[in-house]
Parts: sequence; C-alpha cells; structure tokens
Amino acid sequence: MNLDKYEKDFNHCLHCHLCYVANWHTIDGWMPICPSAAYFGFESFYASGRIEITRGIVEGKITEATDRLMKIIYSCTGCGACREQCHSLSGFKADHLQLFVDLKAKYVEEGELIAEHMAMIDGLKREDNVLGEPKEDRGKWAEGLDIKDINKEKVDVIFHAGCRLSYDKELWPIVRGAVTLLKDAGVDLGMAGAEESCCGGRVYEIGYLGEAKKYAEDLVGRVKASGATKLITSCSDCYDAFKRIYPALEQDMDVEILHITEYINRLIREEKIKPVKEVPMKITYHDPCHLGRISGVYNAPRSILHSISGIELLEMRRSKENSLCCGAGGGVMEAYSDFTMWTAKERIIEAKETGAKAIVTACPWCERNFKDAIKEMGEDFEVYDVIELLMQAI
Amino acid sequence: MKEGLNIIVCVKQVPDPEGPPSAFEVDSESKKVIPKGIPPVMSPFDENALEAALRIKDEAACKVTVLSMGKRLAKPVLRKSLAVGADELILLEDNSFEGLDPYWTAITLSSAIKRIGTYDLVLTGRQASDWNAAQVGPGISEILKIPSVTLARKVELREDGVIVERVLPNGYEVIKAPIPSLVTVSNELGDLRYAGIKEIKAVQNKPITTLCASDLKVDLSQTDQIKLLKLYPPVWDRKCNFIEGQDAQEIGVALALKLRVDKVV
Ligand code: SF4
Ligand code: SF4
Repeated sequence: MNLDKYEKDFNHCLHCHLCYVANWHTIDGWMPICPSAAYFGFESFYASGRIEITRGIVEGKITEATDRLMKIIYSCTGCGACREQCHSLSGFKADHLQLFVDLKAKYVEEGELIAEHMAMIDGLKREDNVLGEPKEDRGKWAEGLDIKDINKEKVDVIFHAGCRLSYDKELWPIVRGAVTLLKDAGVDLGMAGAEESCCGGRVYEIGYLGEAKKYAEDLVGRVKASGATKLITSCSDCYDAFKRIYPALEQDMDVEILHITEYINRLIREEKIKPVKEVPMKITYHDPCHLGRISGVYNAPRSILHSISGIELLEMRRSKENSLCCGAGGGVMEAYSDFTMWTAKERIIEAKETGAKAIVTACPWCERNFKDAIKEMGEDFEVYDVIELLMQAI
Repeated sequence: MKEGLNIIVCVKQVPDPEGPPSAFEVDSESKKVIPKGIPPVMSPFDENALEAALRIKDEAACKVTVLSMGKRLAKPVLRKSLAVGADELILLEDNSFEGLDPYWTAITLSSAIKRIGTYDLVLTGRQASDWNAAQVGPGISEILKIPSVTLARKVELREDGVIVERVLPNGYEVIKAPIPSLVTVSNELGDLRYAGIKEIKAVQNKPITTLCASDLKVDLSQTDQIKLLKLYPPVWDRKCNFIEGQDAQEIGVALALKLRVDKVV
C-alpha cells in the first residue's frame, strides 16, 4: 500500500485535537469521543497521532513495525468520530477512515500481523465467517421459519444475517423477529442459508483488502444472480460494507441496500406493520457507528421506537453524530478486549445517567459488547435491538 | 517409528495465492508481481510439508526445524510454524537473497542445512505457489547428495528409512528411501493443522535464529545466469456474437454451425 498519496494532507492536520471531543456546542460540554484517545491518553492514539505516524512512514522516519506501533495503529475502532469532527471543524480534507485502513493495509502487505487477526483470517478462510464457527451451521438461526433459499428460487428481497447474528444464539431473536415481521408484511423474502458468507467488512477494516474483495465479489455475484431488488441486513457493519466499502472495492450492486430499521420503518409508514401493544419502558438509543455516523441513518431506528406506545426515548448526551463508539469495531474487540470492554462500560454508564432502564441499539456487535460489559459490571440493565422491542409491540 | 530424528522443512514466503486476481499487479517495467492488499503467507505446498513433519512428530519424538529465506521475511507469518508445533525457526535474511533463481535458492538453503549439520529428513513443498518452478527441492537433494522423492501424499519415518506414498496420475506408488533423504510434499497429504490465538500468542516471543549470506559462506556474486526477459499479464480478447433466428430450433442450428466453423466442436 502506497501511502504517498496522503503526503499533501499531513500539513493540514493542525493537531488541534478537536477530533478527540464531541461537538461542545451541541452537547454543551467537553466529552471525549475518540475511544482510543480517551483510553490510551497519548497523542499517538489520537487521529492526529496516526496521521503523524503515516507522515513518519512516508518520510522514511518510521521503518520498524514495533509492537507499540502496531498497537497504536490497530487500536483505532474505525468509529469515524474524528472524521465527523475534523471535517466540520478543522481543515484536514482526507478521509480519516480510509487513511487508517490504508495504514493497516500497508502492514498487512508486509506481513506485520496481529496474532488475533491472523487467527480470525484463518478461521474466515476455513469457515467463511469471522468467528471461525462451522460453515454448515450458518443458516441454523432460521430453522423452522420457512424462508426461501435464494440459491434455488428467485426472490424480491434478500435478507443477509451477517456473521455475528448467524452464530450468536443469544441474538437469534433479533433476526428471527426481523424475518417474521417481513414475511407477515407480505415481503417476498429469501436468504442464502449455509451458503451465506461474511460480507468482508470487518477484514477490510483491519487492512486485509484482498480478502475483503474476495468476499465482496462472491456476495455481489450471488445478489446479481438472485434477481432481487433489495438487500436487507440487521447488521450495521454489513450495511456499511455494502454501502461504503463495496464501492471502494469497485463492487457495485444494482439493488436497494437497506438496514432492517430503514425497511421496517418504511413498512410501518405504509401500515404493513402495526405496533399495537403498549411497551412501557424508559430507554435510550445507542447509534451504532457504522449505521449512524458513518452511514447517516439516525432517524429510522428512532422513528420505529417512537411508533411503539409506552416507549419513552431518552437521549444520551453523546448521541447521533456525537455518539460514542461501543468499542467493538475495527478488529479492536478481537485484539484488545480490555480496551473494548472499557469503552462499552463508559457507554453503559452514560446510558444509565439518562434514567433509562435499557439501552437499545441496531447492531449485533454493539449488543453483544454491551451485554458482556453489563455482565462484568454486575449491573441490572437491559440491552435490546430495536427489532426486539418492536416484536414486543406486535 | 524412530525417535530423536531431525527433520528440516523448507518454507517459502509468498503473497497469499488465495487473494483475488486484482491483488496481483504485474509491473512489466520492473518485471515484478506486486501484491496489493494481501498478506504474505507460507506457500501452501510448504504448509503440506510442515504438516507431514508434524505428523511424524505426533508419532515419535523428533525435532522439526523450519527454514525460510528471503530479503525481508514476515516474522509473524513464519512464526505460525512454531505455533503449530515446529521446534525451531531459522530465517535466512539478506538483501542478496531477493529474487534468487531456484538454483541459487537451493545452494543457499543447502548451505544452511549443512550448517545445521544433523538431519534425517528434509521436506519441501512440491512447488511454490508464486513461480511454480518445482526445482528447489530436487536441487537441494543434488547439492546435499541425498536421494529425493517428489510428490508425497504420505511420509513415514522408520528406523531404516523413509516410506513415501508418491502421487501418480491414477493412484500412488510406495517408495522406500534411505535416511537422510529429501521429500517434496503434495497437497494430497492434507492441510496444515490450525493454530488458535493461544498458540499464536504463545510463540510471539520465542527466539528465532537469523542468518545472513556471510554466515552461510555462500558466494552470490554470480547469480544472474537466468534472466527474466518479459513479464506480462495474459491478454484476453473477448468477442460476443448473437446468433439470430426465427425460433429456438433455427437459433440452435445456427449456433451449431457457427461452433463448427470456429472449430470449437
Ligand atoms: S481535528 Fe483534524 S486537524 Fe485537528 S488534530 Fe484532529 S485530525 Fe488533526
Ligand atoms: S476512528 Fe474513532 S477510534 Fe479511530 S481515531 Fe477516529 S475517533 Fe479515534
């Protein structure tokens, strides 16, 4: 990976560190927003530090891939908070997220690999999922739901479950609920079952661009062959992969790509799904980075929550563009689990401060991470996906 | 099976051959293939060779040494050999090792093997996935003056020799070779066992030996006998013809005729 293309950008980073904090005008206060900067403290762990490291590499001043350097580069969750802040407040024009991925890709190409990521890639190559779970078990979450197989039948809408939701049994109610809602609303729905593969988004984010492209090509080919008009997913990471990463890998699909919350919200507006039961609950909503800040989907999940009577939605101080990452993204959960846990706990503390009794999200990686954090904290606090709450109202 | 034997496995670091075609950029100017977005890996047939060694080690205590050479080797990638069970990793690293042809590669590896001194079996993959030359294994055996058996699908080390099942187009033959011998291993032997995070992390700080050209006393001043004249990606010319006709039968007949004319059938 040639990083020279960023040469002209380096001087535009003013080291103002505005990328470290949430927008103080909106939230009326000074709160950190870059998890890696907040946890590790040193500037090298800020976006500006990683930009400076890239400069050092381009100028030939950094030549050795020390363990410390690897840790700095790989402890970015790819949450996009720095880009959001910097582009609206400061003068750095390059895409921070792409720069950090390219930086990782450089080291991947050189074989300077993180042990945990090597194991993940080995598992992915064997089983076509980032959790290294058996490939043949991939479609098990949908057993008994009678969903069409897109490898055999033409469908209008493809449902892509993603790796986490396919294998994390505790989260199966999210996907089972989602497809049940769609089927009941009369949607002509299909899935690839055991033939579904990873979207490749996670491995793109850790710099394995070639591996990501392989999975993107496979998925795009499958979608094209299906004749579907829509691709739906309940995973925010997969959604971002389809919308942002695939075009970056020159893989385009001529279908409408929707996150489940966008599609369900549409079906509620069309009165094909009717939340009728009251769900009395004080909740707060956590914007998954890949769905919210990176993709700009803030309203659909909130709109679904507002359509359920009894729900009282209390916003955290850091929400929407200012949302704090759950800590699980960018390969950090796999490599630096202590840091991931710390970030998730910070978020849970903030969620509790709203007075809510539960944190609601729309991404299985966030939900898994929050569940684990709450368990470690010994807190009495619930985590739901938007769809799980909606199911209670049907 | 005999105990206490020494097995040396030669492993080449190559760009991941499982990457998509777009990951291999051919630079005709510098006559190099530039990998993009893919990590280096151990060449898959060399992984089969390492697996062969580990299967022998599963049966009887022996020492497995992995040897790799190159200009700049990716230690995390090659350390995987230790994570799966190899005992020692020796890296031959030197600027002069870049782009050596199979002959000089075999000379360099043989020097390292001689330096190690005691060995009962040398294993290599049947060929490397980058250039597919399949020359280095037999080359080492010539230089070391030991017998070689190619294309193994099973390797067994006994007191009195090495028993090799050698792949044939329609089956396999069983060959017995003396100790020491060199065996090149084919994919039919089976995939390299899996290393989990625990195993990979456990060997992260395990010492590895690095040797350079002067340590090996190899003179690489005249390595330019083989010259790569041209390197280019194949050019595919695609033409799409539509066969016209009134109905399916007429189109079918026209298609058959066209295929006959074009000498496809
Ligand atoms: S906000 Fe932008 S310009 Fe300022 S330190 Fe961060 S990356 Fe650099
Ligand atoms: S993407 Fe997130 S974790 Fe990475 S530097 Fe930016 S704000 Fe920090």
